[in-house]
Amino acid sequence: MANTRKLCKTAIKYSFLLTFIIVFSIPLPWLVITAFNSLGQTFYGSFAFTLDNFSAVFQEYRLMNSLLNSLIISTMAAALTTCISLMSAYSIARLNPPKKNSYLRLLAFCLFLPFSTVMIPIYAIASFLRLTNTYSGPAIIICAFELPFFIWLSKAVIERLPNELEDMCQLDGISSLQTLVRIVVPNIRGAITAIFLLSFASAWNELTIPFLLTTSPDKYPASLFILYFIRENGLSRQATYSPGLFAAFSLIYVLPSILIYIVTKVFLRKDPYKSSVILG
Amino acid sequence: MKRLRKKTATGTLFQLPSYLILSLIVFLPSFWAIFMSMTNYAIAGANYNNLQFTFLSNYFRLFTDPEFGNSLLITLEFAIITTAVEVSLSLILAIVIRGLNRILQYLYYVVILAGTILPLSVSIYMFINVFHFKYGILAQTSFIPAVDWFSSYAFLTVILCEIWVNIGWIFFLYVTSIDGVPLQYFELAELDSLDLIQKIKNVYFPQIKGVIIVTLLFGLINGLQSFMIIMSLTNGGPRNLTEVISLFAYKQAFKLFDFGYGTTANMILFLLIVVLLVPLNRSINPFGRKGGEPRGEYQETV
Repeated sequence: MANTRKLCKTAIKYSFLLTFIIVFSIPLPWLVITAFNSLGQTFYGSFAFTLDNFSAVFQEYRLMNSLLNSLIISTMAAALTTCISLMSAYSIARLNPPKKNSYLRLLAFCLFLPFSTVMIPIYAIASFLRLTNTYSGPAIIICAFELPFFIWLSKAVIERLPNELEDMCQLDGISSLQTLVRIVVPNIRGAITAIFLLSFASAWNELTIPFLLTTSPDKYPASLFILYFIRENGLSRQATYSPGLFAAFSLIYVLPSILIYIVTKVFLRKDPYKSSVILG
Repeated sequence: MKRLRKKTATGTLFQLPSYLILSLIVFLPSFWAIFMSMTNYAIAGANYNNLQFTFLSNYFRLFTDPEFGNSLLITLEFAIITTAVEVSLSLILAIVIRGLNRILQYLYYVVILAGTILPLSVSIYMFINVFHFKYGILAQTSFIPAVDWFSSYAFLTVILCEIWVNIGWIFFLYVTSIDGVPLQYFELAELDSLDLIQKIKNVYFPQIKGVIIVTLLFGLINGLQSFMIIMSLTNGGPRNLTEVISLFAYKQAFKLFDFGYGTTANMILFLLIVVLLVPLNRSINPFGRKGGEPRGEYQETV
């Protein structure tokens, strides 16, 4: 009797697991299969391996242009985020600025501020500052919404550094900026790489902010290009944009964020200041 | 003394860029939103260059607008359903997957975390490919009747996509917090030969109660402000069946050019989220459990 109950429970458990993985992995293989299939978008049956879709992506001007736009925007955003968050975090951790606690509380407010509720005033301000349809507009706004998290993060990293080196610098009369650049930054290289990569990945994935700010097609980043492609063409089998081509493009677009995820998860594990960085 | 003062001045100087960018992009818009919701501000249309202070009339208009009432209900429904499913499903998964072998575990991690790691645009693209009425994967199978998912089952489809995208990080939180539970509890549970339900009730639940509350609140906040998925999958349709508040506000502002009215709708959404932020602020501590002191009800049941 007990044996049957146990068997029943095991059956329930494994059928749950099986149903879950079937339902949840439906969207995933489609992308890969279509990208390598020369026969277009037939999911079942006909499959013929090819790399033509990938070489076609590199010959298509609009696709490459959108990848380039994404690269420019996310590099700008990541560089801005890394520099600014390092400076603020160093200031909070070491320089004891006035109103430190209220600054931290403000950061917490920004961290939880939902973007979609301030979308309209942000658009108004961005169009007033002529930031629409530029690279710098999305970069600055992405940076602003990433800053709170990365300031907290780099603060935690810098606080774990031993104080003695910086005390030596003070004895030698080296300025705070020099101390930050020459002493602190080289010591937390790994953490800085992680911060740069993580902010790059989240800027690379960002969809809502470019959606709000960019209307001219030659400034579309890749994420927005995918979205507008769906809306314009549906899945119709057009001669210029076959599903295979587009699946290949999506795979190429996805690659950096997956690589960054793996790099931050696996390789930076060795860094002594990792644990506070690799939380998310 | 002099040196100390100089030091704090440098500190402020170092913070200056972040102050500048945050006040420009975050604080100014948040306060301007309050002002805008009390005007008839518009960037085009009849009210362009005709800025008038209308005080609370936008709010009165909003509360008598049946369309807004409809979208408020839909938003709440959407947030509650997605959160309930995400939290319970990922909790069960996190517990069940512990018992599997390493390779299967990694397989599940990949599938569950995919929605979180992949860019949102690609997730949306894949979902449209699954549910498209003609070329979608479901339409090509023979055992599922061909229906137009985005019009007949719009709400269900949108909820499924939201869950698929969001379940990853909630699952991840559960996995890490269960890893943090001291092993002796499980050993004790093994000795008492508790079954899974008893284990959940007496070991898991008391130990990760804080994380459950936090994920519930986070999930609700996430569900309330969901915009891009609904916008690109159904765009609020059919009729107004999936028009959440953020989408309502977006349409008011960018389709009808009524920025003031759209901002007013968003202010209500913001208030809803602030209501959730207060308990979240209070319970955010349980991420790191305090001290080595064992706690939880399991202590009493043993």
